[in-house]
Amino acid sequence: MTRGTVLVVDDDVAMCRMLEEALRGHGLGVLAFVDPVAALDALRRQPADVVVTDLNMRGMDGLTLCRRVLEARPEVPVLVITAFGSMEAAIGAIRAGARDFVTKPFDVDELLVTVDRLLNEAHGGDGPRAGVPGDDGRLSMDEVERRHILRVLEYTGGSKTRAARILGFDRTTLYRKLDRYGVK
Amino acid sequence: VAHELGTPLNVIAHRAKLVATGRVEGEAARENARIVQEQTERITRIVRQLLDYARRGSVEARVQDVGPLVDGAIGLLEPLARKQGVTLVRHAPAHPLAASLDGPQVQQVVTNLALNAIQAMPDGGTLSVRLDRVEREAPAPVSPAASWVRVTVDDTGTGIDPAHLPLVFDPFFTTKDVGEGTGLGLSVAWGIVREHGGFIEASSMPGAGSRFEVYLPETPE
Repeated sequence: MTRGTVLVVDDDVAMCRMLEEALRGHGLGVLAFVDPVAALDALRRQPADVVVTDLNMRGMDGLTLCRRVLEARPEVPVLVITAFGSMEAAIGAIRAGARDFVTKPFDVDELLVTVDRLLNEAHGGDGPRAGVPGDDGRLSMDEVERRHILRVLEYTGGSKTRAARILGFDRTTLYRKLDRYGVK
Repeated sequence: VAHELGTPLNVIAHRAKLVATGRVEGEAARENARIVQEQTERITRIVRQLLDYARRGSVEARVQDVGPLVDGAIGLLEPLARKQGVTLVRHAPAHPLAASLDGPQVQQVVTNLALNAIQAMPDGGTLSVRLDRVEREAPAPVSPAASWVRVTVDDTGTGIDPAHLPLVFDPFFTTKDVGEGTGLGLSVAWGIVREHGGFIEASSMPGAGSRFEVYLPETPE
């Protein structure tokens, strides 16, 4: 008996297989698809507890998939995988109803922690955790932005000039945001 | 590019971590190593295409007959065409058609176009490569030439969506599956031909096939 079933959608065969193996090895049931349309069909026939999807896919982009999943099964939390440096994508996904996001390149163990949290919420465990997602279980836009900025800063080794360039901010804007989010 | 390179890098990082931390051993470790190798080759292919794209600008031209260059490029693709049930048809005049060009670069142009054509015919078809000489005006901003050596690559494949046709020469534009193309092949071809003072025209009928015409300024021998 698995702790839950995760529907994985990534049109990159190697990435899809990696996610499938990792989630299965973590004791979860997995339905893995490289074709988003087939994934959606499967979800309509067979329930899943969490959906993990890439955003950048051919055939149907992850945002559309996210919306369709929530139309078909509004109770299923969606975790999206976004490309590095694209805050718009992360914000767009959360606005489309995604519960959380991870940015490529991601550590699979961190992704598993997020999936566990979403499964816990889906099964009515602790409910949405205070301080992370909002009351409805979704991340606030501020939280999306804060995490995204931290991720880029980690990548630049703390260089705010490079981070500002990647994020598309001027340095003053970045400093103001860091101050607002209490980042030293 | 971030997506094209980021995905295999992510897969490599994870697989290497599994092996390095001893979370997989024996046959499973070997399988992970095999995937790392495969994803490394994928990155190598992308980087090679990026380098081809970046290397434009160093044309080593000499006046030569275009026919043997085209034949050489097409000959290399014959095994692939045969495997996919694609029939190769060549048309060339009996006399030489000369242009001042960098042989390997022009061969790359023909290879890229022919490879796309073959990939557009997954269920087989006919790839026709025609070489001829034409007189016509060049589209702006190509400098006018009196006459052109034209290489026409025709396929009977899936064709190109009219909405995609204006984008096909844009760097990184691709409709191929992930890992099958970086969207640089046509862009590289376009860059090389422009550096030779020529141009490429594309036309297509979805469901019936596509045509790419390469125009290189003729240099009478």
